[in-house]
This record gives sequence, structure tokens and C-alpha cells, in this order.
Amino acid sequence: MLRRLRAASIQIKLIWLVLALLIIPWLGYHYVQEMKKFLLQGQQEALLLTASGIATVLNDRSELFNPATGVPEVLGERSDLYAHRLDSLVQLDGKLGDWESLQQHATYHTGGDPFLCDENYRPNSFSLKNAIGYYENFLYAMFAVNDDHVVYRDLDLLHLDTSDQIRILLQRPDNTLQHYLMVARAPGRTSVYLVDEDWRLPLEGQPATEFTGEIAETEWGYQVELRMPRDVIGTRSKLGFFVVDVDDADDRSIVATLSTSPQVSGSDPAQILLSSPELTKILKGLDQPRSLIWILDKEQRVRAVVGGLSAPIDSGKSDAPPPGWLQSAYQRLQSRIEALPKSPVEQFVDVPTDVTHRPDQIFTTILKGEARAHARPSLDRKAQIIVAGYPIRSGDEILGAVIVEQSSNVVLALQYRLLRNLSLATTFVFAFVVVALFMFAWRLTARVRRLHTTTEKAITAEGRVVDGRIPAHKYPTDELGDLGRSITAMLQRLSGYTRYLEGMPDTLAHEMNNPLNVVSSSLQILETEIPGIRKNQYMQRARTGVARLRAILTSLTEAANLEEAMRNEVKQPLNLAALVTEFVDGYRISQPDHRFQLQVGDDPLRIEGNADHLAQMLDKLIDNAVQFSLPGRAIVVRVRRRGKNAEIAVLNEGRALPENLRDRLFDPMVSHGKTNPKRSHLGLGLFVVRLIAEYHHGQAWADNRADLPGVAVTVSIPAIERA
Amino acid sequence: MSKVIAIVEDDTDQRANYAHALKSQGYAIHTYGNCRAALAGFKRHLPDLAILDIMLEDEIDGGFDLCRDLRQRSPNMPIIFLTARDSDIDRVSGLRLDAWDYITKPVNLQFLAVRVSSLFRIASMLQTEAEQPSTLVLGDLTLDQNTMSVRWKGQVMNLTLTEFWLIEALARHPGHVKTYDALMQVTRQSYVEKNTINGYVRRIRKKFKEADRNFSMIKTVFGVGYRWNSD
Repeated sequence: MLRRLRAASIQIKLIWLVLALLIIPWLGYHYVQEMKKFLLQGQQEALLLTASGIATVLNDRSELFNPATGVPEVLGERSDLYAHRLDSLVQLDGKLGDWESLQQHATYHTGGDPFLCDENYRPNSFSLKNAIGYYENFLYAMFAVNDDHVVYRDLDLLHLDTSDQIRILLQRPDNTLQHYLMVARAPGRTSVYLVDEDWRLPLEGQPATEFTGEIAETEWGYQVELRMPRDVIGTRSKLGFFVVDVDDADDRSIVATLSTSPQVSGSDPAQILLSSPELTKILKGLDQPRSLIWILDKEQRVRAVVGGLSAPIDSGKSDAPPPGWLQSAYQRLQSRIEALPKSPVEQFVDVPTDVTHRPDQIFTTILKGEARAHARPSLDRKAQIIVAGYPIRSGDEILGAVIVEQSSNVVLALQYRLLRNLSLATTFVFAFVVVALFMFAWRLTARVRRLHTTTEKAITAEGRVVDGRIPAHKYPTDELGDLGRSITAMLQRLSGYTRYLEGMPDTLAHEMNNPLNVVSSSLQILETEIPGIRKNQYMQRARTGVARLRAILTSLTEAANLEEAMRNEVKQPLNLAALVTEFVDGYRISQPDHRFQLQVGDDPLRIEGNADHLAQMLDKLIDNAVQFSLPGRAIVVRVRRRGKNAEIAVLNEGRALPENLRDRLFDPMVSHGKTNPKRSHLGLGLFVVRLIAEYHHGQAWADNRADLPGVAVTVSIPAIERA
Repeated sequence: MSKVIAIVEDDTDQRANYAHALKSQGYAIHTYGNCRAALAGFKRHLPDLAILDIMLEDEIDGGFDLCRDLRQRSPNMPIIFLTARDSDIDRVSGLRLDAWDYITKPVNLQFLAVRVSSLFRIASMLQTEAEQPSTLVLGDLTLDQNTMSVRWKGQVMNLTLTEFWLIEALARHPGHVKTYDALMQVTRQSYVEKNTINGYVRRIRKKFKEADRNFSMIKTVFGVGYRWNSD
């Protein structure tokens, strides 16, 4: 893997590097998860603290939990009948002066229930004001009834449902119903009877002693005060009052029934909720949005509950986006990502607040005296509820427990917001970094590749420096620019050295020309000064030697001069086949000792070139062929089209090419042997061939002939396409 | 009074050999080994003809500087560059400075004498403005053998002595091929190769083409030589 990565291109490596950036969002996600844990723990601790605070307040309030009083202290928003604490003892005298303090809690009933009124009902003929209060161990009820005809009980009538009356329906915790009826024969103290379920016949001969009532007539009807012990109602009992109106003393039929139940169809008994202002004050004060406080007694029965779990969730839509041009992009991105992390639900179902019993295991533990907090899923498993409980003590005894519940939606919403912001920011940054890195990588590799190609192109296969300049000056400061500059410097040094090497024969020739001139001119003077010496054989040898030296020097300078000359020449379209034909014809005349065999097609073979230099090249090629040709054998000159190129080949019969020389044959000063000791073999002839071929954008190579022993030297030059 | 020839050559042996050869022809010779000495000598006595080496001791273009100096003193003085440097650039530079000839080493002393006498003849012809011009007219080409001047379509061509001789050799026999060997003789230089001839012809063509873009009278006979177009 590592080796493969090492072998990969820079681009691939940079892509890997970019992918490594993906760790950042991953880390961010984990960070948010950790933070969520931390926050949940913090929330648990905060709830525990709340619970312990409430517990501290409730410590030593044993009366709240005393089963002897047996009065449920239930507070809740859906409670049915409120019993309010009275300021003083109520005198059962039919006068309502004692109820002043409950005036604002009184409820009015005008018979809105369509099932309990018949068509004769007139709103003003029968209405009712009702209040329920308690003082010490008694529960009191007050009824101010607006009735145009007050009809009392006629003792002659057997049935009890024949006069104005108040019916009391009591539902025991075991769901058994008890019917109590208060009827009066006259204003004053009245009795309450336990009756059958039709409210007609008393079940016992004696009135129920636990209920006491007092009725008094008023100018608009009558008013009733009713007293009953609190324990009669008992824990979780339900109570309903129905005021029945009978208007006709003869007919004695029931005209209307008004229920004190706040429910519209209030025929069922309702829970009596005793309002304890102290506890209410305590708990209401503790009432926090989004949290539910339960007070449990030792038996895990619910004593009080306040608050609610559901809360509006702030989804954080008002986050300020970053300013400037990024804004629109950011917002677009935001809308894309909005759906990504799962938003916490706003609605979920949990334990209803009107349960009487919370048997959860954790409460058992708490009621053993241990403060606890944990998280549990809601009943529908849509949300997580954090539960914290703290025991309420009285001395060493545990009275009950405070349980505070809160959904973790607050934290979840926060987590959601964080996650969303995080993913937004990282996506944004990631995209930016990726784009930036890709652009950088692209540019870098492009530059490296450009440097690579220019460097490659700068030197030909033969090692000649074509262009000593790498365009590195465009990147003045960085390392790549430095590299380009070093390569440029290197190439320039190399090209300087190559120039020096190539110029060497030229320089050498110039330097040797002067002493040669001394020798040559001295010889000439000798010839004129000393008559007859011209015939001297040593003189003649000296002259021949000078001539040979001169020939060597000329050929040494030829290549250098040629390059210089070609730089100023222009190329013209010409017919290579015709040129070669003409050339070989000329050669046949000037070199009658050799046989030339010409192989040229009939079609013209057009190239872009310089006839003089091409002739010079042919000269060298034929010179070379003649030099290495066996005596009497034909030299073949072949011109043909090969693909897009025109090819001139000169073939001779003779010795084969030494393998080690083949590639270097066209370098200066390389020669493949001496056949004629009288001729110089500096190996510049084929170098000149190569120079001229290269000047024509072609190339030259030498091969052994396939048909006969001998060598074929070939020059290939791009041809002009046939018109 | 004999003609004075100044020889500026930093190589003592060559200088002495030239001086010897030319003295034997009856010329008075002043020799100088470097630019400074030459300039001082020219100031004292202006020569009738100067033979200059280009590279003089440390001065690479010393000969060119001297040529420039002499041209200022005497616009019509024949000047010959005699040098080991044999590149087109050197030739062009030398001829731009109005040198009359440019020959490369090693030099044939006999040929050198021939050139010197030819140049003296031309110089005197130019001074006396000969009444009888010996002209050869070949179509658009006019050759004056006395002043050794060439006109193409009436335009004076600025040719060196060697170039004039080559044109003359070719133009005298239009349509006939002058082989390389024949042309080598014409140049009157000690050692001439095919390629040297090619170089001369190339420069001649260039000069004519500068005057007349459609000049195509000199035809290459590949592998053999050149000929002057007969039509």
C-alpha cells in the first residue's frame, strides 16, 4: 500500500491528502456526541439538584403524606373540582358571609348542558353559583340557587325526587357509587340521606350523619351550605353535585338539573381537588417550563404533579450566516443540509399526569433514600426523558420522593443545531479546501509536467542542447522556480560545454592555420629562393603534408561554418527526386571511376529544403559510400516516399558497421575505420549529414544492408503532402 | 618610387615571409605587430595598400578597427584581410568595412602578389578614370575588367576580387559548366575545397539577390560545378 502510494503521481497523493481532511467532520461529530453526553449529564445533575431543592422544601411536611388524613393533594391543570382553603370556620346558617374569601373561586352554572334541561328551561328561571372550600377536617360546599319557585319536600310523598334538592354522587376509590340526597322540608337545618341510584328512596331510615346542610330562602331563590368530613371523600374519591329544580308544587316534576361539574356533560362525578395554597405556592413557584414535578408518597402513589413535558423547540433558524459574498452560498448550502441531522420531535407521548401510581423501579430505589437520576425513553420512544428523584425526609423517616422529569429535547435540539452548524461549516470549509487543494495540485502538476517536457525537449537524443532556457522566470520565488532555474543554469552550462566541444575543431583549425601558414609560406619562399629545389622529393613531401594538413583543417571548420551558414538560409519547396537525379548525373561525370545506380520513382517527391545544403549532404553521403565501397562495386542511391517522409538512402558494398559505432556514427569525430591512408578520417562527414538532416527536420541513420554485405546510410526528411 | 604596402600581422614568421615575398616584387614594406604600432605607423606614413590580420595579439577584432581607421584616412585604399578566421560573419564584417579582398590562410605567396598587383591596377584605374573601359556586356551583366567592377541591370555590385574573378569565369562562357576544379584555380588561393567554392557562390548570389530578387543566372550543377545561364 505504502509502496503503491509512493509510486503514485503527485495528483493522486494530493487527493489522498484531501481525503484525510474527512477526519475533521468525523472528529466534529464525535465531539458533538461527547458534548451531548456531557450536556445530558449536566441536565441530569441539574434536575437532581432541582429535585433535592424541592425535597428540602418538603422535608418534615409529614401532613402532606399522612395517610390518616387521606386527602389527596393533587394539583393539575385538568383538575375538575377545586376545593379552596377557607379563612375561617363556616357557620352553617345559610348565610354566605363566611364565603367572602372564596368569591373569586365561585363557579356559575346556568344549565348549558342540553341533556339535563327540557324545552321549558329559561335561563333566568334557574341558575346556580357554587363554591367548594375546606377548613381543617371538613369540606364545605356553598350553593346560591336562583329559583323562581322554591318547592320543599312534602312528607306525604314517598318518593324523594319531588322537590328542590341537591344530589351528591360519591365515587369511592373502588369505583362503587354512593348517592346522597339533600332535601329540605323548610328553611333551616336539613338532613342528607343515602338513597338508591334513582334518587327516589332512602336506603337507610336515618339521615347520613356525616353530611350536614343548612338551607335559607333568599329573594331570588335559596342558598345552601353543606358540610362533610374530608375523610369521607377519601383518597382518590370523586364527587359530583347536582342541583335539581322542581317548580310546580302540585305536579312536582323535575324541570331542570344543574351539575357543578365543569365538564359539559358533567353527569359523572369529578375529582375533588383540595387546593393547598402553601403547597401550590411552593410547587407553582418551582414550576419550570418543560419539566414535570411529581410528588410521590412512600407507596409510590402520586401526591402531586405540576408542569408539563412538551415544550416548543428552538430549532435555531435565526443563526446569523457569515457576512459578505459567502452569504448566498452559505444559505444555499444550509437549505441542503437542513434535513441532514434528525431533528428532535416536538410531540411525544409519555406517562399521563393523572395516574395514581408510579411503580418504576427507580422510584423504589429513591424511596429507599437514594437520590437518583437517569434517562429513559418516552412511552412512545420518540423522545428521551431524564428523570431525577430525591427522597423527602422527616427525620430518619422517608416521607416520599420528589421526581423531576424533563425531556432531553433541549439538549437534543442543541445537539441538532450544533451538528447542523458543524456539518455546514465543515462542508463549506471542506469544499473550499478541496477546491483550493485541487487547483493547487493541478497547477503544481501542470508546472512539473511543463518543466518535465521542456527539459526533455531541451536536449536531443544525441545530447545536443536545443534550447537552454526553461521558462522558470515565470515563477520567481518558489522551489519549482528554483528547480527550473537550476535546470536552466545546468542546460546553459551544458550547452556552453557542447558549444565549446563543437567549436573545438573550429578553434583548433584556426590556431593551427597560423603555424601552417608559416610552414607553407616558408616552403614557397624556399622554392623561389633556391632554384631547383622544387624537384626535391623532400620538398614535395613537405608540400603534400601541408596540403593534407590544410584539408584536415578545412573539414574541421566545415561543420561549424555550415551551422552558421544554415542559420541565415531560407528553405524552398523543391523536388527531391529531380535534385538527386541531377546530382547523381553530375557525379557520374565528375567521378567516372565509380558506378552509380540510381533508384528514383517517377513521381516528384517534394520537400521543403535548401538545394545547396542538400547537395552538400549528398556529397558527404556519396563520399562516405565511395570511401567504404569495395572497388568496382556499384553505389546505390535510392529516393522514395516512406509514409509522410522522403527517404534518401546511399548504399555501398563493403565492410559491415561495427555494432558499437552504429549510434555514434553521426557524432563529430567518429569514424569507422581507415580504408585510404591518404585521406583524413575525422568523422566529420556524417556529422555534416546529420546537421543538414536536422536542419530539414529530418534524421539520419546507418544500417547494415540486408541484401548484400555493406552499409546503407539513410536520411529521412518530412515530405510535403501530395496536393 | 615604389608602392608602400603595410602588413599588420602579429605572427613574426608569417609577417617576415609576406614581407620577403612582396619585397621581392619591388614593393616597399612596412610591417607592424599590433594595433598600436600600426596606428602610429599609419599616422607617420599612409601606405598605398594594407594587408591586415583580423586577430591582433589580444584584440580579437583589431584588424577591423584598423580597417575603419584607414578608411577614414583614405577612402580608396585597397585593403586585404588575410586571416585564419573563415566564417561568413567575419567575411561579411570585413566587407562591410569596404575591404577589397578577404583571403584565408594558408596563403599562396605567388597568388598574394598577383592579388596585390591586381588591386594596385584597379586603384590606379579608379584614380585616372581610364578612357578605354574594357567592358564585357552579357545581357544585364556588365563587367569592367580594368576597374574590376560589376554592374547588374545598371546597378553597381560591391564584390571582392575573388568574387569578381568567379563571376568573370562563369559569365565569359554562358551555358558552359565550370567545374569545381576550374573554379578553384580561378580563386587564386592556395587551398580551395568544393565547399569554399559553394560559399563564394552563395555570397555572390546573395549580393545579386539583394539588388534583384529574381536573380537566378548562376545555376548549380550538382556534384560538378556551376554555370551562367545562357538565356
